[in-house]
Amino acid sequence: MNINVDGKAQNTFDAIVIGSGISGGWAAKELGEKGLKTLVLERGRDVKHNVDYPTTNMKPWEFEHKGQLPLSVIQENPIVSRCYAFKEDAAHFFVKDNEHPYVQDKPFDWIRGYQVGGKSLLWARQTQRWSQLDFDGPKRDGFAVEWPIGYADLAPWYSYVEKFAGISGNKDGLAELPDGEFLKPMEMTKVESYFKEKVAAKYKDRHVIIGRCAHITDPQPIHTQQGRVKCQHRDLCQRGCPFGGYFSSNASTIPWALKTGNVTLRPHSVVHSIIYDEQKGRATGVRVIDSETKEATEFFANIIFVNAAALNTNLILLNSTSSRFPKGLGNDNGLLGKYVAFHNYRARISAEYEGFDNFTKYGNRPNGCYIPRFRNVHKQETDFLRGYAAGFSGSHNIERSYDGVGDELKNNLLHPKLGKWHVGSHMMGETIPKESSYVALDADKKDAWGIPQLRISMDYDDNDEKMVKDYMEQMTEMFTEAGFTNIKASDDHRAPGLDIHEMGGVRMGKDPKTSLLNKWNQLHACKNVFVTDGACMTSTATQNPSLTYMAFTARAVDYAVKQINAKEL
Amino acid sequence: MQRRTALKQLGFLAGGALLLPSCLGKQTAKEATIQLSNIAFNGNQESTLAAMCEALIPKTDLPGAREVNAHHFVLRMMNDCYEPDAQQKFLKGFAQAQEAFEEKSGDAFEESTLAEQQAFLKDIEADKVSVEGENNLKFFYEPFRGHTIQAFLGSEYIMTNVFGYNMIPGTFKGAVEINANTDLKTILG
Repeated sequence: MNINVDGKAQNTFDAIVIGSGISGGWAAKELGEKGLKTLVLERGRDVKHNVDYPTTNMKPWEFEHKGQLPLSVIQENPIVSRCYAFKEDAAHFFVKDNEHPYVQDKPFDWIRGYQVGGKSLLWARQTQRWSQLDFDGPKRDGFAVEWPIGYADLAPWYSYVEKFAGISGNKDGLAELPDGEFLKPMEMTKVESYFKEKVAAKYKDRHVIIGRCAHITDPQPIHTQQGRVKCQHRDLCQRGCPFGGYFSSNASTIPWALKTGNVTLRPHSVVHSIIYDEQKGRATGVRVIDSETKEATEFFANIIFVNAAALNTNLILLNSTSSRFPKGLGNDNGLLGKYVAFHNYRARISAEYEGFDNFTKYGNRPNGCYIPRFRNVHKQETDFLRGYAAGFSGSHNIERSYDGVGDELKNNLLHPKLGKWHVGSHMMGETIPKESSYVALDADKKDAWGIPQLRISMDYDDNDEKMVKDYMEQMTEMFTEAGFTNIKASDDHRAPGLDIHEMGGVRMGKDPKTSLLNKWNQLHACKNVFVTDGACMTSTATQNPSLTYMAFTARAVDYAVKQINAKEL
Repeated sequence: MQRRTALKQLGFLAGGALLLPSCLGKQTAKEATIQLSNIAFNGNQESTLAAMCEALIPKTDLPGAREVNAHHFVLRMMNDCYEPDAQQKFLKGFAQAQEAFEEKSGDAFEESTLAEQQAFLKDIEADKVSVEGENNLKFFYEPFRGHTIQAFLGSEYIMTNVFGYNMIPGTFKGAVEINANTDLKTILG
């Protein structure tokens, strides 16, 4: 490696954050606010809020293919093309298949966003807290390892990040889905409210609630200070929001961090590995390769936050070898990269409802309804472990006839009518992390920057198959009970990955023999390295995970800085 | 060069002879006003296609398909979003439609009356048009029809003036009552 020695002082910071996505942005903000000189390394290009959103104000008719991507793009990118948001308006925020190859030991659609802000520009913005019932899962059901923390440890940090990010939701008072610091909830449509009532009447333990999402519905001073305003209900979030109506690193944490004057953002910085100093017994910095020039540079800091996104965090740690850690940083027990898991999104259901003929909605709702997990919540009840949450939404179909030629056709096209209501739902199942599910470095294949490619091996198991079946049966029953018709449940057999909820590999735990991170997200064996993105997850629960990463990050930074001030770190 | 390729293509499609009416007598074809990399389409064909789009959705007190450039959208989609096989079948089907029309009416498509044009499109839809050899009409007609409708409904004029498209609704209301079934802007709101 050709090292550019720029003078160590100039490349030395108090803290380094690897990654600028949803958790890296939080690390940057918290470290900067607490006065630490912080370097944020982002492997992709810069995406400045409101400057680098090229499609955000484009009208539907301004898209050359009205939203569709050219066939050549789809053929060159079969993996990312399977992602629902990879369309003409947002394709520029996704990693293209051939630019960043990886090895699929088993089929895995790895969806990535390599730019400042990462996938926080593209996420679906659903934000639910975990409950103690979720943290209890591994211990109660005998899988993975016990979580080293519980809900009480995280609750104040959930509150902390929710207030800043802006989370819309309704206080539903459910033990399995704790309420948060909510801005006012979004409204349900007629058929959604109807379904909520029907489900409540039939099942005492099943609830249909409005989604809790990272949108500002009622701006508070803390949001105005960020330059963000109320969500305008355009529902074009994946383009980047000019209003900052939803939370992204770009609109929120990154500019906030930069404003402290303590944070340096360095795009085009591919992290090769973390440097471990055998004498000092700690990590001292990171090796960076410039994505454009391929020049290598070293940066140094007292503490390092690894927030490269779950699987890439695994890759960096696995690639950080030294004589002390020949199998990867902190990997004394050989478990680094193992026990990865994801969310099972395979099944969906759709149906129709006739009624509420003279009702529709106004505006677009970048949110849906949510059905918290209702299977095996308090005790084991089924022949599979854990359970699933579900999305749900209902809207009034707009129908028109496409028949005729000439005036008849034109007249038909210009007179759409409201038809039946369409209702639909999809599952979000907890999967069980297993030793046989892993990521590892390929022995031979390297990427364009000389870094080993990641091999990915995870798959569904019998538990997941049973859960898919149960979701379809239970939702069919609930839909039937509500008087929905033309019910169609299906399993699309998608590969893992499209959920974009990959987690684990650097799991937290109480025992250094069976886990990589302690209860403060520090590597057991290298305490000045913190992992607070999806890689830290011991189990997956059913919640959309980003909010939990934000809370972990803010909590870990608080701890790290207290330790530094106490001369313990 | 592009024009020569286009002519060659047409000759091939018509069975080796330049039988296409818009080319007859002139032996030249004007350039299309849209740049296409994957399909050969000349200006005369473009005019015919535009007339077909307009016949499908004619101008009334509101713009028709020609005015919203539907023919360009059809070609853009065919050029960029279809497999080569589908592109070739589209071109063959288009040539067959032109030919069949002329055989029936004696005139080029764009030079006949709207009524004749529309009667012909209805005949295609009713599967009443016969062609020599392999029939590719539907491989032309289906994408032509679908993308013409898409271009019309998705045009700035129709979306804003008829359907009340509003990029920034500002708010979301879950239950809005509709007073009249003709209240399109509320229905589509």
